[in-house]
Amino acid sequence: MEHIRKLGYRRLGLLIGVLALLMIPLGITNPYFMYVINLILIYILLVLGLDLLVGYTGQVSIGHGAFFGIGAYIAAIFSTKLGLSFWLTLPIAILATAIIGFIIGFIGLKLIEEYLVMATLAFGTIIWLVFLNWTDVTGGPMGIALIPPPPEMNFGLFTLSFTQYADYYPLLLFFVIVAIIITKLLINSGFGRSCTAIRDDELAAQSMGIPVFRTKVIMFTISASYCGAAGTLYAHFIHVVSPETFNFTMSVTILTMVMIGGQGSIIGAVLGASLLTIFSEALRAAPELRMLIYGLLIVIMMMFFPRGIMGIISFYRKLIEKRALLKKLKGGKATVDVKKEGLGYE
Amino acid sequence: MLKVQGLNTYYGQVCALEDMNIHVKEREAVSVIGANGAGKSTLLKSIMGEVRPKSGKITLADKTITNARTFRLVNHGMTLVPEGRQVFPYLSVWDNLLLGGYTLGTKERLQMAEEVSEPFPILRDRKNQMAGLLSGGEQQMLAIARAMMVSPKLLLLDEPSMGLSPRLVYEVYEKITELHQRGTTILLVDQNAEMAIDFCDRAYVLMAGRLVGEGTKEELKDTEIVQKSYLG
Repeated sequence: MEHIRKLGYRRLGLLIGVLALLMIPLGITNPYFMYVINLILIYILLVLGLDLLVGYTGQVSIGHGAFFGIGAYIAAIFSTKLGLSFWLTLPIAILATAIIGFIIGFIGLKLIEEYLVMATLAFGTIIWLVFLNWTDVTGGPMGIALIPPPPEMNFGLFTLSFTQYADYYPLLLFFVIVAIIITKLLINSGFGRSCTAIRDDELAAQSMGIPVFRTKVIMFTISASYCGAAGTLYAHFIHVVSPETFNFTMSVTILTMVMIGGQGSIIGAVLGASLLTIFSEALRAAPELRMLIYGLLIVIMMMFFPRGIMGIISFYRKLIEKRALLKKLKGGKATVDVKKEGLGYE
Repeated sequence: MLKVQGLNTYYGQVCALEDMNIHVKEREAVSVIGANGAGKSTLLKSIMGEVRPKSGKITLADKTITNARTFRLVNHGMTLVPEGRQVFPYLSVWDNLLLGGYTLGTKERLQMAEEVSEPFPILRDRKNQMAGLLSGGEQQMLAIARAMMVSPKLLLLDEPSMGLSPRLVYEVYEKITELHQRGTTILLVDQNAEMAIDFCDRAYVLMAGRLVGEGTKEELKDTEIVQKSYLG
């Protein structure tokens, strides 16, 4: 018990959570469910990347499906045509999407709000047309098939041979955990704080000496590289890439995931990606309905819950705290400094 | 310290500032008063490089800063407390202060945060609380303290009394006066002419983008235009 106390309940909870997550493949025998879980993990990477831009820096992009596609195609081309392994295609794809992200960010972020949205939309469409029409390199509408899985990994106790969906799970989970740690470090750093300042008020941020444009471009570059990593994992997991996966719908899907989960929240990103992937799989029979429902969801969320599911959770948590505090005060059992409790009383 | 000479600023075809000439001497407190739409905020935005003037010259301590990038002006020793307070609501009070010292080193930043929060005990008491949960007056105090993080030579304040109750306006002006007495040069624009004139050494009166009056507070209080338009 003393050991547990020393470790801290929070850390213990985290440890149990990670162990439980690692056990998932043991409890799920249906390969389709395992496929969906792996897909969720890839989407979490994408949503974390876009959320850095939308949630933490306040810049909306509907071109991130293109960065996802660029990552996937680079992995596909380099592994099928040059025979490079997953461990080489991954850094190449991350670097390439970061460079393209920097260029697009440098041009696009000179524009404001709705014009940036239009510019990223145009970028997404152009890249999709490139995937579709540059047949010699991208395979055109047929795409690129037979992308090899990552090389076998031997850990002594067990081996990941990547012959079944369950083998991909630990690899994808590892990348998601790494991405969450990087995101957490990033948003808690001075750079992350300056991004939040830009999101809340650009003039105030600039007048404090924060180079707004440069900071936004750096965040756009980082955000694009997350999508590059996700694209590589997707290509080596699905083994085939084709243009229809990386069209406008993909960009909207990722943005909807950010909105539903809650902008500027890591847990929100995980929730948004999980719920929408399951929802999207459930609507497999009627794919044309997806866009209609996504559009409606975005409108409803923007109107009533602008901070997504995490906003709703936070609202009810504060309400419960307030009620508990008022109960204490009425009962006269405790003296509480209402101002210090920080519940917005005046 | 600050000289604005022959400044003309346009929003498209609309002239927002016409032939503006003002100056602020070292350790002086200067107010700019005027009705809504007179061009007060545009004047500050032009000085801060947020809006590009069509012509004219702005100098700070004899260095030309016309069209300088806003974020570089901190290095010239000038900071702005923007209109409507504009604290970062989802960051803690302490993080807001630290961001004010963005251009400083880590150690210096922490030291300055301790120093500037000293005259604002409420900020120290609530340092870990989200800034958005502070009252309007407290947010204004935070915005002022945040701007003081870099020990500016010149502090610009845009409508510091906006949206505050009379009691809070008085408290905010008390703090600004304290800063001035400690040696900070201040240029302030406010619709609350009575408070702005009472506080300053000198004031300018703007109307429809043009300078229509100028003088010490005693001189201005006696002029007809200020009496009629602003002091009733």
